[in-house]
Amino acid sequence: MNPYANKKITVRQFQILIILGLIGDAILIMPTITASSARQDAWLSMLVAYAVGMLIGVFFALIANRIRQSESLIAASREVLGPWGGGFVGLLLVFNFFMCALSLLSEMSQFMTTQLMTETPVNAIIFVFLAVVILAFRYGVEVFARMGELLFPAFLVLFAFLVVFLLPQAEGDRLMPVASEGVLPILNGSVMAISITFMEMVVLLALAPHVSGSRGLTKPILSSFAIGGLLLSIVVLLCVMVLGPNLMETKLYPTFVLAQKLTIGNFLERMEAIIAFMWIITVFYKTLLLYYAAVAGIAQPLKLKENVMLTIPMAMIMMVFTVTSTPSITEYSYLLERYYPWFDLTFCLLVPSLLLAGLLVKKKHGGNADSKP
Amino acid sequence: MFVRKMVLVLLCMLVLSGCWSRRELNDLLIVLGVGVDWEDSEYLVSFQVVNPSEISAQNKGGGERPPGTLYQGRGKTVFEAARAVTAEAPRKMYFGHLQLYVVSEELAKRGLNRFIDNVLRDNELRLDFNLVVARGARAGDILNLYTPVEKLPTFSMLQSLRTSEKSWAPTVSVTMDEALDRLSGPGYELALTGIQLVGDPAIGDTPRNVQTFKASRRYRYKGIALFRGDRLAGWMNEQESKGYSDITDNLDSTSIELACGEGRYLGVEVVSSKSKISTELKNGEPSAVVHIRTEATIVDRPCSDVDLTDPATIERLERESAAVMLSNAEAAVKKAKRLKSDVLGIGNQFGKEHPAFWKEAKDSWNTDYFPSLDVGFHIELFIRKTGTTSNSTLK
Repeated sequence: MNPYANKKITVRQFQILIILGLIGDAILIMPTITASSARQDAWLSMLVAYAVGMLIGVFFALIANRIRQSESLIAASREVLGPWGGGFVGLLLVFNFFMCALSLLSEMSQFMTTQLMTETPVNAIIFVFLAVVILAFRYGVEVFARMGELLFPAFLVLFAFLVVFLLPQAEGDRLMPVASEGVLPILNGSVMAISITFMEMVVLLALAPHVSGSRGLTKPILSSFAIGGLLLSIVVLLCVMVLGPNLMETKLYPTFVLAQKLTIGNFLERMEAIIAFMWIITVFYKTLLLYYAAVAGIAQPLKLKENVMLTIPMAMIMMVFTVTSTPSITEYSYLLERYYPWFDLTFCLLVPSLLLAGLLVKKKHGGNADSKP
Repeated sequence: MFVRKMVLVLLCMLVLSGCWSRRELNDLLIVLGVGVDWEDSEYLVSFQVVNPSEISAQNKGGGERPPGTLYQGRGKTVFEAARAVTAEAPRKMYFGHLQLYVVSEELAKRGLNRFIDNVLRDNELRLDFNLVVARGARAGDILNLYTPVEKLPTFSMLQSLRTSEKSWAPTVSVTMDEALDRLSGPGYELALTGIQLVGDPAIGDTPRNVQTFKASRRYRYKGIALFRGDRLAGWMNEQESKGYSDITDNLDSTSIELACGEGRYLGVEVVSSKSKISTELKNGEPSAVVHIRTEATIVDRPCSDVDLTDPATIERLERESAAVMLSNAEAAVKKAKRLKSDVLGIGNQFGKEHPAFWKEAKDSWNTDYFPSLDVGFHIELFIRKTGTTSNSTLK
C-alpha cells in the first residue's frame, strides 16, 4: 500500500494552502526587509516583488501541470530524469525544504521569545510547535488541508480587523517622496521579498500531485499568488502609512507594532496577542507544508512503506539544527540578508527548472514512449 | 491501550498547565511614570508605580496611603537602575502601561540618544507614552507629587498635557514613536513640552498637598524645548510655543486677546485651525510658505464701542487676530532659526517635495540653510460667530 496515492485534496484546499504558505513568515518580516533599503517606497518594492512573483507562479504552474499524474514530486523527478539524476534533483529539493523549514522555525521562535514570551526558552517553543506539526503530518495531507479551509476565514477576519481599524491612522503623506532615490533601492528591497515570499512556494509542487480532478492548475496557482501577494502588499502599505519608514526599519517586527497601534475608540486596545494568532496560523502552515514535503521526499526514494517513523527523528534534527545554525538573531538576519536570496534562487528556481527542462524534453519524445503503455 | 492513553493525558498536563513565565497581576508593579536624572555620573531613575489598593473602586475611604509609590534606582544604564530597584521593591516592575517619561533638563542637554535606545528595544514597552522635559526641577521630583482631582499624578499630567495641547496651544504631546521619527534624521527636529513645579516645595509629596482647597504644590507645563539632534538647544516662551503648535498643525483651539481700549482686551477663541507648509525652490534658493486657515469665535467683548453687528468690525477683528497669529508664528520661526533647530519640519517638507535638493542640503540644513531660510506666511482667519449674543446691553 502506497502511503501517497489516493491522498486527494480539492483545488480550493490547494489554493488556501498556497495563500497561507505564501503569507507565511513574510507578513512578519516583509516590512522590515523592504523598508531597510527602500524606506518609504517599501510598498513599491513589494509591488515589484508581486509582479515578479506572478511570473514565478507561471513557472511553478508549468511544472505543476505536468507532474499531476505522478505519484509525488520526487516520483515525477525520477520518472523524468532517471532514477539517479531524478533522485539527486529530488534530494536537492528536499534539502531546500529542510533549510527553509529551519529558517521558519528560527523566525517563529525568535518572534515569540522577543515579543510575547521573553523568558521562555526557544527550545520549548520549537518543541511544542513541532509537536503540532508532527500531529498534523500524521493525520495526513487531507486532514490538514481541510483544517486550512477552517482556519482561513479566521485568518481573513483578523486581517480585515487589523486593516479596517488601522485605516484612520494611515497617513498618505508618509508615502512621500515617491522613488526619490531612484529605482535601485526599490529593486534591492524587492529581491528579498521575491525570494522569501514567492520563490519559497516551490513547495506547492509537492502538493500538486495530490490535487484531485484534472482541471489545469495554472489558474488556481496564479489566483492564490495574486491573493497572497495582495494581502502582503496591503500589510506593507499599511506599515508605511501608519508607522513610517523609521519605525519600520528600527523594529524587527513592524507588523506587531502595527497590531499594538490598533485601538477602537480608546477602550479596546492592546489586542496584539490576538492579532498575533493571525501569523501563527500562516507560519504554522508554511512550516507544515515544508515539513511535509521534506519528510515525504525522504521516504519515497527510500521506498519506505510508511513515513510516520520519520516524523519524530526529522523534528528532532530540525530542532537541533534550528538552534545551532542560528544561535542569535543577528546571525539569522545576517544569513537571511547575505545568502538567502541566492540560496532560494538556486534551489527554488534553478533546480525546478532542471525538472521543467526534463519534462519538456520528455514530452517531445513522449509521443513514442507513450504509445507503448 | 487505556493505560497508554492515560499516561499521555498525564504527560500533557506537564506542558499544558500554564504559561512558562506567567506573571499574575499581583506579581507586578505597574509603572506609570519614569523620570530620568543624571547624578554623580550615573542615571538616577525614578519609577512611579500604582498602589492598586488605593485607587480601586472598593476603597472608598482610602487616603492613608498614597495612590502611587516612587522607587528610585541608580545605574550606569537605565536598565541597571530599573533592576536595582528590586532591592527595595517587593515585585518586579512592568512597563506595559507606561504613560509619561520625564527627562531632566540636564540630561536633555547631554543628549537623549544615550539612554533612549533602551525603551525602543524593550519588549514590554509600547511606544505610545509621552515624553516631557522637567524644567528647573529634577525628573524624580515631578513624579513625587500629590495631585488633586486625579489620584495618579502621571495620569493627571498626561490628561493635562493632552487637554492643553487641544485647547490652549503652547504645549505639544509627543509620543515615543513620534520622537523616534524626529530623532532619526535632519529635517524635523524634536520639540518637547517642559514641565515645572510651582508652589511650596515642602509639602508636595505629603497628603497635605491635596487636603487644602488649593494645592500648594502643583505641576505646570511651561514652554517648549527645542532640540538640535538629540540635544536640548533652548526653550520657546509662551508666544513662540503658540506659534509653534499653530505652524505644525497641532493647534486645535486657543485664545487670542485683542486690545480694544484702555487696558481692555477682546477675547477671540480659535475653534479650529489647519496648517500646511509648502516649499519652493527658485534658482536653487529654498523658501517656504506656511498656510494657516483658522476659524474663530468672539467670546468676550469688554468694549462697548466695538460694534459686533457691523460686518466691517468683524473684518477688522479678523485682520487683527490674524496679525496676532502672524506675530506668534513669526516669533516661533525666529526662535527656531536662532537655535538652528528646524522643529517646524520644513526640511522634512523639502524632502517630500524636492527630494533632489534635500539630498544635497540635508547634512547642513540646520546650520547653512534653515537659519537664513525665507519663510512666508499666508494666514486666513474667519470669525464665524459671536457667541450667544451680538452686542450685549452692558454699558
